[in-house]
This record gives sequence, C-alpha cells and structure tokens, in this order.
Amino acid sequence: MANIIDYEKCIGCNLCYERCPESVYDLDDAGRVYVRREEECWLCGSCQMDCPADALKVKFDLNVAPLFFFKEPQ
Amino acid sequence: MATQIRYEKADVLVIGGGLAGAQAALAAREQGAEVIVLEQAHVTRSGNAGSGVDHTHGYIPTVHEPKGYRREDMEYDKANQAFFNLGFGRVEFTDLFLEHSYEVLTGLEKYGVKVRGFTDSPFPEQFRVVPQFHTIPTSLHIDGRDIKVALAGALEKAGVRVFNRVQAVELLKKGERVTGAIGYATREDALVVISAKATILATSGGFDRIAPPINPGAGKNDHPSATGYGAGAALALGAGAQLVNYEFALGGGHSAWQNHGFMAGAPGGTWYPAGRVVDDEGNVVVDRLTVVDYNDPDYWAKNAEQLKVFFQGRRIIEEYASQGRQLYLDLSAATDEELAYIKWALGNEGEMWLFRENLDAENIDLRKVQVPLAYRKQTSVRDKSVGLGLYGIFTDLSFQTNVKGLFAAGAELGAAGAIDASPSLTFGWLAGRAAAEKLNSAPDPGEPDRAQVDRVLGKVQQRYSELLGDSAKSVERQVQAIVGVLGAPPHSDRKAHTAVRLLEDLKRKTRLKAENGYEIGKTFEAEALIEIALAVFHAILERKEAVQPFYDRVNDKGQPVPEKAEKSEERKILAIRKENGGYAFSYHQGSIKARPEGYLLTESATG
Repeated sequence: MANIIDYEKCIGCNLCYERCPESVYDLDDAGRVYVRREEECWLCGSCQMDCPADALKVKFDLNVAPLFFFKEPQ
Repeated sequence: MATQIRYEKADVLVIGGGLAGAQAALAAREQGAEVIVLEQAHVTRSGNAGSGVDHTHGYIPTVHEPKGYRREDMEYDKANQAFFNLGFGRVEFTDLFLEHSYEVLTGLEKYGVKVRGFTDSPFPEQFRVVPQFHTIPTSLHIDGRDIKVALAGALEKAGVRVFNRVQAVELLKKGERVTGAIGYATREDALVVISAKATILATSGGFDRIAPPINPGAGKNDHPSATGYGAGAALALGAGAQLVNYEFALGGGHSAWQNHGFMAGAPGGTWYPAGRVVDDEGNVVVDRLTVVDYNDPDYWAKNAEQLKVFFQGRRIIEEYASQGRQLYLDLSAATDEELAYIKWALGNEGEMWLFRENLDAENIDLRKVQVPLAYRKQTSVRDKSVGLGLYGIFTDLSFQTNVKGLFAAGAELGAAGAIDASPSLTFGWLAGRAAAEKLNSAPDPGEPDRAQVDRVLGKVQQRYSELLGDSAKSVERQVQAIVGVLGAPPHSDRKAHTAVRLLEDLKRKTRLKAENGYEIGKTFEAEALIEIALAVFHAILERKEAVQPFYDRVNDKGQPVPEKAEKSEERKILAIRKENGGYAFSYHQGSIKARPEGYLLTESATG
C-alpha cells in the first residue's frame, strides 16, 4: 500500500496532517505535509475522504494484500 | 526537551472524543456544564466511527409496534444474542438503551446525519431496514460516513472545548475522588493538567493491540479502532475502579471472523441485497438474505425465517472452515440497482469506503470477482456474540464507577451488552447527563496534586534522555508475544502465572525511550498495554472454574477443570481492581432475561 500526495494538486491545507488518527502525516521544516509513518496507516481513509483538492490517495494492491485478493468465478 | 505544563479547569472532563465521548460532552453541555474533551487523535475523524457508520439499530416504535414487536421483545432478543443469558452481563443496560434509542438516533438528524427519510423505503418514516443479524433482525442503514464530522461541528457550536492530540495518561486523585486527569499533548510536547468535578471515560476497548488480528490494518478483529489501546481501562485501574469480565477477554472475546471489516456481515449486512457465500466450485453454500415486505401479514414470522437462514449459514461456514475449505463472498447475481445500493452502504462503513475507492480506481466489478472469507476459529461461542461490551469498566446504571467523580460510557463499559454505534451514542448521552446532574453535589476539585504531575513530567523527561532504552513498539510486541502464547484457551494457573511473571519482568526491566512527542505518547500506550494484560491474567488466575461454552480451563496435569456453576443464574461477574499495590477481587450478580417461548429468536439464537 502507499499513501500518495500529489503535490501539484495539494493546496497546503494540512487537513490530512490534522485529522489522521495515527499521525501518518507530518510537516517538514517548511510546513509542508509529507508521509512520515506509512506503516502506521490502517486504511481508515479519512485523509483521502476529506482532502478538498483530491490530492491524496491511499492505494493498496487488491491482488497482493493478504485478504484483498480475488479469484475469478468459474 | 523542555516539556511545558498547562493547567485547565472544567466541570466535566470527557476522555475520548468518539461517538460516546462526543455525545457525553453534548449532553453535559446542554445541562449547562463547562466541558473539556480530551481526544488523542482529532475529534473530526477519531474513534471507531471515525470514517463512518453504515448501520445501527434500536427500538423504533413506528416500525416495531405496528407489528406487535414490543420493546420487551427486543430486550429478550438482544439478551439472547449477547452474553446476558450466560450470566455475565446486566440486561438493565439494554433496557436503558432501548428506552432511549429512538430519541438518540433521530436526534442525530439535528447535526445533519440522515437516519430516515430514504424515499425508496417502504418502511414507516422511511427507515432503511436491513437484515444485519448480528444485532437484531431489523438493523437500519444510515447515511453515516460523516457522523463524526457532524458531531465535531456540534461540539464546536455548543461551546465544548476540545483538546485534540492530547492523550490522557493518568487520572488525578484527591483522597478517594477522581478530580480530573493529566494529559500529554503529543504535538506540543506539553502536559495538560485538567481539574474537573466529574470525569467520564469514553475511550475504546483495545484488545486489538494486545491480541492483534491476523491481518492488522486491512482486517481488524472487530470494530475497535487501531488507535484504541484500552486507555480507559488502564486509567480506571490506576484510579482503583473495577474492571469486569477480563478473564474472558482473550479467546472468548474475539470475533471468529478475522476479516470482519472485509466480510462486512456477509451474507446480508453491507452486502445485502445480493451477497451470498459460495465454495471453490461456485456452488452456493449460503444464499442471499432478503428484506421482508413490511406489509406482509407474516412479517415477523418471515423475518424469523431469514434469521434462521443466517444462523444456519454461519454453521455451514464453520463446518467448511473446520475442513480447511475456502469460501468466497459472491455478488455475481447482483443487479445494477443492487450493486449501487451495496456501494452506497460500503461508502458509509468506515474503512470500507477506501476499499470501494480502490475498487473503483482499478475498475473492478464486484460481480466478476469472488472475495475469500478468512476464518479462524478462536472460540466455541458460536452464535453468542460475546465480544463487544463483555469486558470493560464496571458502572452502576447512572454510569458511575465505584470511584467517586469517575464515570464511564461507550465501548469501554463492561457487562453492558454489545456496544456498537447506537448503544455508544445512547450511553454517552446518558452518562453525560448523569455526570452533569451530579455536579451540584460534587466538591470543587481544588488544586491538582503537584507531586503526581511532577512524577508524570519526570517520566517524560526520563524517556527523552534514554539513549539505549526500549522503543514503545518493542514493548508492545513483547506484550503481544506473551499474550499470544499464554493467553490462548485453555487457560491454566501455570500459564497465567508465567504470563504474570513475564509481564512484571517486562514492566521492571523496560526503559522506555522516545525522541519526540509522538513517541512519548506511544510509551504511555505501551505502559497501558502491560497493565491491561496483567489485569487479564490476574483475572484468569482468580476464576478457577471453566465457563462453558467459551472459557476452557485445565489443571496442572492438563486435565479439564469442571464448571462450578452450570446454571447462568448461579454465575457471578468477576471484578478486578487495584488496591494497596496489589489486586483485589469482588463478584457481582449478572441479570438473566430468559426467553419465553414464541419470540423471534427463540430457536435460532440458542441452537
């Protein structure tokens, strides 16, 4: 999985940093948000849900993650 | 690091800003109290409902009464589905919940949460009634993705002071009374010391942290959020309050379904109206469930039939699992309309929203894939859902603990029934009101004990200065290892003694270290996890008998220990508390609500 910030779209509101229950995001010295603790993300989706600029995606590979794999019906 | 100290004062302090905490704060504020909420994350998206609630339940007079289904009937049904009829709960809490559930649920509408008025619904008041049988046969889908956003807005509007990113680490005590709490602000590196006349623990149970699910992250064991680490239980213990049913917290307390979030109540539930379960060859093993036409004269009888299908399905799935066979959720027969409905429901169900977004991003058609159901049998509880609300903090019916000035609400309550979204909302509301009503007779909290504050400050400073110490994560993993090896049933004195020795050892030898506020917060979590695990094993040592169907014990020779009290009525709830540096125990009578013949769940839930 990956938490991906599209900096071309990001408007710097920092809502993701403010709201993430697990502090996955942090601010760098310039006050810009970055992904600091991706391993703490438990996929609640809040950051992506609330991003006003559609600049943030939490992606997980549906075919690789232990329980998110699929089988074609026969 | 120069950790700051800030002092604050309120009438009511609420620890935890989830559904229960937000409601408690709003109710106390409505009574005129000055309220502070401590929230370790951010109240807008925190707690078990942080990214949504798709379904809930309650006694809805307009839906249930015309069909002759009384509140009392629902009380029996809920008692039968939870652990009350095993003798380890107080069904009075269910009575309280059902008495207020309609008012509390529809009360969400004033914050902007849509719970009825769905124009496609043939049910009274246009509730979306669905077959989500793990609570009652008439669950309700709601438009609840942003329920926490709505409650956060309500808190702000009401003038409740919310301190986000502040983790409660100790309760303040003056004599026998709790007078507030010491919090640690993880993003400010400050201690926040709050004096209050009444303190409400509205935290989340945290057993996912000491006994993690097989697929952490994507498939939580049960509803509690990953941020919940049992802070309330640890705080309560530290203040001398009673915890109950902790001996059942491992093994008996977990959902047998390991990908709970992912299966989303299949079949039925979120996958209603088209979810079914198939085997490797595509044969339907458990068929889809249907919502019975409300105008059908045999409404309840047909509902009962659906419930039987559901329980029968669970048993079939269990059988397949015991043979090591894989089963799949199958939506291949869904119509466009049904699929659209499922996607709407998924979008409200917490992390399932993100799952849906990822499905859509990859253009995956749910009708063309089959989703494997992960199953691990951890318990012989079968149909009795003993997890949520079994173990936790013990209070009276006004949510007051045995320690003056200390209340509890929400998922951290023990022996109070299955506490999912609507009981959390209801108990939160009632606890907030109860705490506010007692303010007049509550003494002023006075000045906090400086020695206690200095002790906490000393811990923080020590952890910053520790260069070669233990990270909170490593301590957490050690707790998990001890619990994983020695906490699985059957329980025995030998295993529990070993666990206690290892945990005491860990507590003594650990030198927690941290480099920043976030890590300091985690060190307090690690400490709490050790305390909770210790309480569990001490409770296991205290309850010497087996309790069927879910608490197996063996003696030192490995032979099964018999039950002392086989009848539910003779069983007692075990409470553990800390006293004079050790543990003290007491027993409480649970309440049984034996089912008379003829109600909805009679056959299926007891089978």
